[in-house]
Amino acid sequence: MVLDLFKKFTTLWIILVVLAFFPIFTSTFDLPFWNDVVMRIMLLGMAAMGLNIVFGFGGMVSFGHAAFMGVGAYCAGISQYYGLDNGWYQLLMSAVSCGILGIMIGFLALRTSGIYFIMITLAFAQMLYFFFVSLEQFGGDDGLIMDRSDFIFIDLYEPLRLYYLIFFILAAVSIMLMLLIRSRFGVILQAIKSNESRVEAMGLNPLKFKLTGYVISAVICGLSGCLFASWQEFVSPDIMHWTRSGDLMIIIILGGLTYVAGPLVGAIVFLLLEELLPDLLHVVFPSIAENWMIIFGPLLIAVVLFGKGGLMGVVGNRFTRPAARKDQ
Amino acid sequence: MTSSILELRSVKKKFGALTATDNVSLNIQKGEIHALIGPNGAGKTTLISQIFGNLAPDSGEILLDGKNITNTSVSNRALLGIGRSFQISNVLMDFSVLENAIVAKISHSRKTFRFFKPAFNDPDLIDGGLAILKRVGIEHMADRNVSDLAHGERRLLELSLALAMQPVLVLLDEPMAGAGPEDTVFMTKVIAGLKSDTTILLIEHDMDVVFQLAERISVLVEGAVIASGTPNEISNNTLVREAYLGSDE
Ligand SMILES: Nc1ncnc2c1ncn2[C@@H]1O[C@H](COP(=O)(O)OP(=O)(O)OP(=O)(O)O)[C@@H](O)[C@H]1O
Ligand SMILES: [Mg+2]
Repeated sequence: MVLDLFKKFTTLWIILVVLAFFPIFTSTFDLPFWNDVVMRIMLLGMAAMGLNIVFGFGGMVSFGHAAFMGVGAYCAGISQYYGLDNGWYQLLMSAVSCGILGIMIGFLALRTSGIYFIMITLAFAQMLYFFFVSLEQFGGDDGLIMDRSDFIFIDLYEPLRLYYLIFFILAAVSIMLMLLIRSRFGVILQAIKSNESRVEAMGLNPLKFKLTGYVISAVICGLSGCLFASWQEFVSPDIMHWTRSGDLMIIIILGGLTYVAGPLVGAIVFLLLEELLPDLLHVVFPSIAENWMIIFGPLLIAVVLFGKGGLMGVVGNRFTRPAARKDQ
Repeated sequence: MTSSILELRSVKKKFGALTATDNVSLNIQKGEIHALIGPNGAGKTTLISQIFGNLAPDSGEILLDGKNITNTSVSNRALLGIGRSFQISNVLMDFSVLENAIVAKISHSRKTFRFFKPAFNDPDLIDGGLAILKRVGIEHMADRNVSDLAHGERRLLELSLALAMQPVLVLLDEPMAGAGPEDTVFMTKVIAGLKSDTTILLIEHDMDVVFQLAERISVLVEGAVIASGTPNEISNNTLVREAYLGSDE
């Protein structure tokens, strides 16, 4: 079974191996800045993988998942504010808070579908955003400066400790998703995306499965947000701005939404472009380098429109086939 | 009375000003093939949707084996033993034929919240899935993708899914609509063969098929049952001839 996982999810394993050895590359060539970029990639990639459980596999277009990242981040920030520095405790808090919030929001929002679901998830996310903006005690709009959390045994101020902490949690989430997507639960979720009324006619209550998927995805986004706070050493409502929810969706579509590795591939490309495109333009077209978004935007639109399976569609099996079956 | 598997009591349903189900009371006996016929727009699909729970009646009661299921959800009705095929093919389009059956088998096994062991290569689920397909003789199509199937083949898959939960009552809404003549003959045979295990409520426009299969027929016109009886009684019923058979043939 373990061997099977290696064979089915080749791309994801390759990415994980590269990420595991990447710091050797950066220390050899003395490019510590790139560790920072890659940590950001891993964090947003993890959140996008979480969102993709509902978005890509369950067919639910949730436009508010950045809110769960925000709640995770504030769990770290507020805990620390009250002197609870233990990072493991903060991760647990993030998971529990996002789990409970996921049940509440999911329970209400999943009664709707289509455009109504998009709007209601966005509305809940905006409510949470303004809730944190209004918390003057924790910096309101300006946010809260914090130290990296204290992960007993793992001092995050030692070089690379934070990198590997993020990496191992990303790897754990990845392995869990590889299993989940092929499990009975994962298969039912993908069946609901394919045809909800048939699934219902088979005696399965779609709401139960969609809600469970929604909660799992919220928890993963919460973990990502909690680590994001340590990485940034700062928490503000910005982390849960609606544009980040949009970024997460673009990342998923860019990478390929019917693949487990899709969101991670999308995060790599999205954030590398964001990092490199301005510099590249300085060399080629200095006049528009300031406005690199002019290139970035159409580029994303092109991939989304023409590469239906996203970037994974190039290496993986056919786009529409259930992820539970295809090699990717 | 005790041998009726399905009982409708004064079921009514309106869409705005349109009365789609007009005070329908109906008894379906255990083990029979009961045909529901009527002109286009008579309300046949609407009635079946209320029996299956896709639509809620405005008033009236629906009883399955004596149990009131009027407010039971679709998925719970499926678990209680009702299967349905839809007028417009309703299968998992992105999946293979066997994968469709495997999802049904997962539901049938009741072990649904399992998060680790892969489902599509679980030998028990594959065997169960193949058995579901074998019931209508389509196990040879197991590995094909639904999107590649011909229309008639899709209808057969849908029939096998309607039977997958081993229902006590199967609602078939024009199961052969759009299938070719060969598939129609084959499917008629398959449905006739199901008679010993289950009860069937069949909507069908093809009168040859109806008279071949049905032991009892109910005629629906403008939402109301205007006649119910044996094929002989129905074909000699003047009301039916006027309202339906006469104008149609
Ligand atoms: N959801 C709905 N909203 C409004 N009107 C509806 C709805 N569903 C059906 N109707 C109307 O109710 C009437 C009965 O429709 P129904 O589909 O039940 O007929 P039918 O007997 O199955 O017809 P056919 O033989 O064409 O399948 C029709 O006039 C139809 O237009
Ligand atoms: Mg109809």
